[in-house]
Amino acid sequence: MTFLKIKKSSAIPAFTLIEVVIGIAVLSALLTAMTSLTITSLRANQANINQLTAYYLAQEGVESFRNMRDGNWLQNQDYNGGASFWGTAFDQEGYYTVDFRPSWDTIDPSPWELHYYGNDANALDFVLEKADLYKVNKDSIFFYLHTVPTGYDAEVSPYSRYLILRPDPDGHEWFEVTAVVFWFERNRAQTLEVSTELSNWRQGPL
Amino acid sequence: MNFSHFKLRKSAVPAFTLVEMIVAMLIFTVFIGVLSSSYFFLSRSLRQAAELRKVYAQARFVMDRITQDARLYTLDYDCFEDSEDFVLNTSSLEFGECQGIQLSGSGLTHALPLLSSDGLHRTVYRFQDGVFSVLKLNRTDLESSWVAAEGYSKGFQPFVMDRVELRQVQFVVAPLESPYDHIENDFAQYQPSVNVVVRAASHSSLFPEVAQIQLQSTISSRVYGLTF
Repeated sequence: MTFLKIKKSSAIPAFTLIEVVIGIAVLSALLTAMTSLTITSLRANQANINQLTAYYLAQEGVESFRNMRDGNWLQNQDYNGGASFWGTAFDQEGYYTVDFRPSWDTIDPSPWELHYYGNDANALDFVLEKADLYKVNKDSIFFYLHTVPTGYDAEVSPYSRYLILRPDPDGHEWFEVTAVVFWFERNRAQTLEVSTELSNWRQGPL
Repeated sequence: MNFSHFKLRKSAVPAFTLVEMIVAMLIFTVFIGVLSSSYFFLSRSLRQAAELRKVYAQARFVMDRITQDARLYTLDYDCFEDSEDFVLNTSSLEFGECQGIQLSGSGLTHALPLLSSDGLHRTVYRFQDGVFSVLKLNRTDLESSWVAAEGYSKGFQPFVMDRVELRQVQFVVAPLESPYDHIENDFAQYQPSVNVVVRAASHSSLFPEVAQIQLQSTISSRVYGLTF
């Protein structure tokens, strides 16, 4: 009888229910943490890709103004003029959109298409409406553009871009151009801005 | 055999009942199920993240190289004006003119020839048959012929992509002729620029939709007044 009692009560080492419950809780907490860490890193990767794409699109916006300024010098125009080539001059403060023209040719060789939207709150609303970029393609040629050229297939891209031009307040011959690219990431707006200052250092034709 | 002793032993061994066993096994099965499914999800996500990272890194590498060079160098219009294919004379390691890079009427080309501002270094980026490669040439003065730079004696050197499918590297150049060599051509009076589109995707069939990227930028050359 004594032998039985010993064996039954304390001779077999075992976990209590509390211990088991705590053990499982710790294990599942650990697993949850690991899973969420992985998901976060996955999202960070996607965020990186969006950020990189947006960065290059912003760079293109800023480069376009540099290219148009240099083109104006070559065309013997004012450094911020050239409405007949680009669609509009860029001598006014405010909001712009610009596209690289994939369909430029020997009839209309200008590589850029520029639009001006004004400089007030309405202009900002207007440019935000027009800022969406489409992923267009035709015969395996791909572009991001604001407007879909005829004959191209298009899908909406997550990215939108517009440009802000601020002239020098003292009337010296330079201006600041800022390219703003924004996109939505899990329903939250992300913005990236790249800006540069461009001057009329050439003061005449190249 | 002592019968009473046997009886005592039989009841003394502690054991689970059938119901207890079934319940325990059920709980254990559910637990293992949750554990393994979360493990598979975890490992899948990790591989997905790794693929995404690779695609990102490669696309960025290609784009960075092209845009940095395009900014410092200028378009080498000599290359567009010849029509024969790029020929490499392996015996003398000499190149003729940079031949054969086709430029379509809309400026689209599969190869981007860039020239340094002193006219002595030429870098050609090419995307052909899914392979992105580069060729570097030097010359000692403007009259001498091009010689392959160190490491390029066998011609174009392909970039090795780590299981990343480079779907496209697309160049559109403007204008079609050098504005400095052809001042009589009104259509050429634009500062040389190149629009670059890089599209890359993962080779893995597991994540065809997730791991892809399309980058686009346009670079305006910083080299002015270069004529040869």
